[in-house]
Amino acid sequence: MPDAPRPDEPQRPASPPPRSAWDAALAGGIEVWEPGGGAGGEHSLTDLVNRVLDKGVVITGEVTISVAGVDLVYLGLSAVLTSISTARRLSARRETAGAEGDADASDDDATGDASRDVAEGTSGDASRPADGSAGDAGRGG
Amino acid sequence: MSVHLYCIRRLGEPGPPEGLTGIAGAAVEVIEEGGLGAWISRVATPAPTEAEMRAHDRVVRAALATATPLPARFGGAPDEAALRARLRAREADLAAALDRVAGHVEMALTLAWDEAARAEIAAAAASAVVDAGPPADGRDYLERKRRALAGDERLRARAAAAADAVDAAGGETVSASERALLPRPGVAAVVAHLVRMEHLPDHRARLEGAAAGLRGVTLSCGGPWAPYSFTGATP
Repeated sequence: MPDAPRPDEPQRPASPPPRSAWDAALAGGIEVWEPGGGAGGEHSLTDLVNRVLDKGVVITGEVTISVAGVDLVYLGLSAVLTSISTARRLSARRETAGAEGDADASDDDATGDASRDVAEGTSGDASRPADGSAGDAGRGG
Repeated sequence: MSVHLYCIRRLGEPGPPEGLTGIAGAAVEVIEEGGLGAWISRVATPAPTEAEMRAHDRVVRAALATATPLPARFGGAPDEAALRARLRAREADLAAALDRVAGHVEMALTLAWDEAARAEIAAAAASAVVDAGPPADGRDYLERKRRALAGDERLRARAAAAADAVDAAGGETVSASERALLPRPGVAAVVAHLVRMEHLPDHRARLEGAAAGLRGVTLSCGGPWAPYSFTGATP
């Protein structure tokens, strides 16, 4: 049985943390630092993309994003982006040859560097978005 | 009209500050369901531009200012009814996830290959180019495959060792850790640490102290972020 803490001993942090720690932690916004004093703001956009597009809770089973009016769908954990040109190509292919998606999510540029980064950074099945994105291309476009 | 979900909180915690706007400048409101409150905007499906992603994160950070939320992945939900139904169905696991992240933030650690490691990797890639011609025979083909796989495994093992080292450096200031090995060229690993607010100064000091001992990589650290990597709740 552990001894009761003496009055002069520091107390374990309560939950939630002290307000001062909370305010101190968040006061500076997002800071990027490197040991030794260097700092690199260039990481914050990559970090933002990797978190906002690739992490975070998905509540409804799928979330939809839109690029230039074309809805693109993430399916569960397979957070792979595809582009408008890919979506249209797949949609056309499906109409003519049936479902045979081989979405190449990483070779298109319509969604810009940010989404390319996501496509490279995810381990999702690149063939999966073909279903959602191709179908939604018609709905959203 | 679709619904854009920013984050999930417990009911009873402070709501959005007055005048807070999110995606497309839309107002942020709270949908209450069971013991949960979902911060949302009613907007058409948003495009993932940098401005809109920053708007999403700005709202999440506004929530983080008063209590740690469960951040949502960027994107639109079909409609409010679907969102409510899923909140009801998953209330228990979402509440458990909120308990796990309470009082915490996420720190993003990037372990980039240093110059010497990059030179080694480039040399290995050059030898792979030599292997790129047509194989002389089946044996030659299989030996090339074996060399390539061994190279990949060595690189992955080095990346894992670097991630292990920063986890060890964080010690007890790290409540949980997630990692992605070799996520993109030039980067050995991206590691996310879940850290209690009051442990942040100690966490930073520990990483700064350990950085010189890291082999083959340089460390940069960004944050604090809302715990995007620790929601642990997917459909």
